[in-house]
Amino acid sequence: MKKTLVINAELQITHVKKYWYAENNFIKLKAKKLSDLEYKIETNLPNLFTNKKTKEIKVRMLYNFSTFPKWLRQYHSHYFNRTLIFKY
Amino acid sequence: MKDINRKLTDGMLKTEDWWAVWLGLIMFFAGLLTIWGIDLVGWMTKVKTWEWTNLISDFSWDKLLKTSTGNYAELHPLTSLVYTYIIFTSITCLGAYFQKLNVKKFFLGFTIIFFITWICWIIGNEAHFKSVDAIVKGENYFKTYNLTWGLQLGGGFSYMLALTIGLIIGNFFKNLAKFLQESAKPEWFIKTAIVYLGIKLGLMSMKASGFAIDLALSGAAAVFVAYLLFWPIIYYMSRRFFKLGRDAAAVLSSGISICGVSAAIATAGAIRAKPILPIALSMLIVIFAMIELVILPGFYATVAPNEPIVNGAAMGMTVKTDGADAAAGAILDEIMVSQHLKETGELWQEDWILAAAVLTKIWIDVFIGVWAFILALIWMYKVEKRSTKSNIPLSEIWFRFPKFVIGYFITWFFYLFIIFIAPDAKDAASVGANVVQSPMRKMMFMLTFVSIGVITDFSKLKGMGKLAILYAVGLFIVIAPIAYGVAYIFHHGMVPPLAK
Repeated sequence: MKKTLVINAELQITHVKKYWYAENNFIKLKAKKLSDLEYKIETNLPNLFTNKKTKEIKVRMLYNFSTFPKWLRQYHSHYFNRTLIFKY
Repeated sequence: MKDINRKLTDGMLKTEDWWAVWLGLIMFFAGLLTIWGIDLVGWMTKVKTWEWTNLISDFSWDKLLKTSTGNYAELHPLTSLVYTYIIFTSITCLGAYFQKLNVKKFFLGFTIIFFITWICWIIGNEAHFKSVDAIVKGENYFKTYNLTWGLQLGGGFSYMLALTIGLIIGNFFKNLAKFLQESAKPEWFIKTAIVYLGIKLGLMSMKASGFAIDLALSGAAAVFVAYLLFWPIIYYMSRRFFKLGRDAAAVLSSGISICGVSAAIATAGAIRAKPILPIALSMLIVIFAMIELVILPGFYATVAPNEPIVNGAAMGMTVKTDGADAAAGAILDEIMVSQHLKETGELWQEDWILAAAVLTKIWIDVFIGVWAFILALIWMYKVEKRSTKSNIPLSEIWFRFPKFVIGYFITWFFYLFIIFIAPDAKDAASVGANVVQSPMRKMMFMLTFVSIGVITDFSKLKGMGKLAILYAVGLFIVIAPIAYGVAYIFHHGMVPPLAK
């Protein structure tokens, strides 16, 4: 049975003005729609990895809540986390 | 600055929700030490009932303030107030530090709010505003002071005064309001007060456990009403009559139907809407919660003076945001207990009406994480139908769970535990518990009233035309009547036990 090489990555998500941003220490992407951002992640992320046998990348998208106004944070302290799974 | 929830323990030191638990438990454990004869809470200041001509004729601070227990009776009342200020400022500043607030600004703002709170509280205890013409705890202050008139509002006047002062600052002294925003944290203060209220419930359960259990269980009905009745109706109205998009309709429905701002943010996050949506709606929710807080207690008390628990539970289902709900419940409690005393001479035990409002709300609050999770799945599989494979971690439910509820149940069940395991310690435990659940809790309520007023700016309603109309229609035409009907079915005829 062939083993699938799974790579785990993590991206911090924010929404500032009109754009969604996804970033970590190696990459920063932006798009107006979240679906477009996810497409950019799917196409750009494999370039980060030298191992060409990469078959699957799991991306944890963690929303950075500090972009919410300060007065609002007392009501709630979490927006969303989501894991995307891209197969190549 | 990053504020990301990665591990289950994230946020334990940096969110106001957790800090409500810590502030609650610090005082809870300090109060518990009276079991072993150690009084670490008796320094807390209590406000006395006073009358202005009597005070002016022979001024003394002793007529206005006193310490909470006899162990600190030697303290001058002002020294007691200084202790109260220093201790509460220290622990809230510690919380502010860990929450990464601007501590200097928080300290200055909290100091201003603290003293506004105490001035309102002292004024509100003047006999003409507070005293009811009936014997309470062996004394009729109305007769003691030979009053010829009186509002007879009990502690309700203090709350209304604090709210009014807060609203005046929030709407007419906007620079001051902006400065105070760093420390005006109604949700933090009220959640701490609710943890303290858990102690009160524990003590009340000692005396009337059957009533407490009835109240707790029937409050569960509110969950079905909020999530499975209110939400679909408001969502349908938003889509059908107000032509809102799916995301906006879902976020608004959660805000109006469930638990206000926190539900709106949780829902928006679950369906991954642009954050601007819950942010814009939040101000609308806060302002309408304030309108409810001002209107509903007096309205319910007037329309249904013999249905105290129905009124409390209806409040819990109708008023959004924890702060406004508990505040409305507290006003309702004070007004109805005083009104009943004035009309019948019977004194209901305090805080059962408030407990009905808070318990109902807590039932609704605790399921917001599950509801958001369900919505996330619906949006992922039915609405968006993305080709990309993705999954939603179960930890999302935990991240959205209101943590102050943990503190509330710890304090409540601990006192129940004492009754069953160590009944002999009950009286000694009550000494400290009574300080935490009464003057400390009421002070946190008073801080909430001032703060909630400070952060409410009615001018923000401008430009919200369609949404404001939808909100008003949804709230007053749909939610309030249904909530009242459901509360009536479950709580009809329930009245608080009589005080001794």
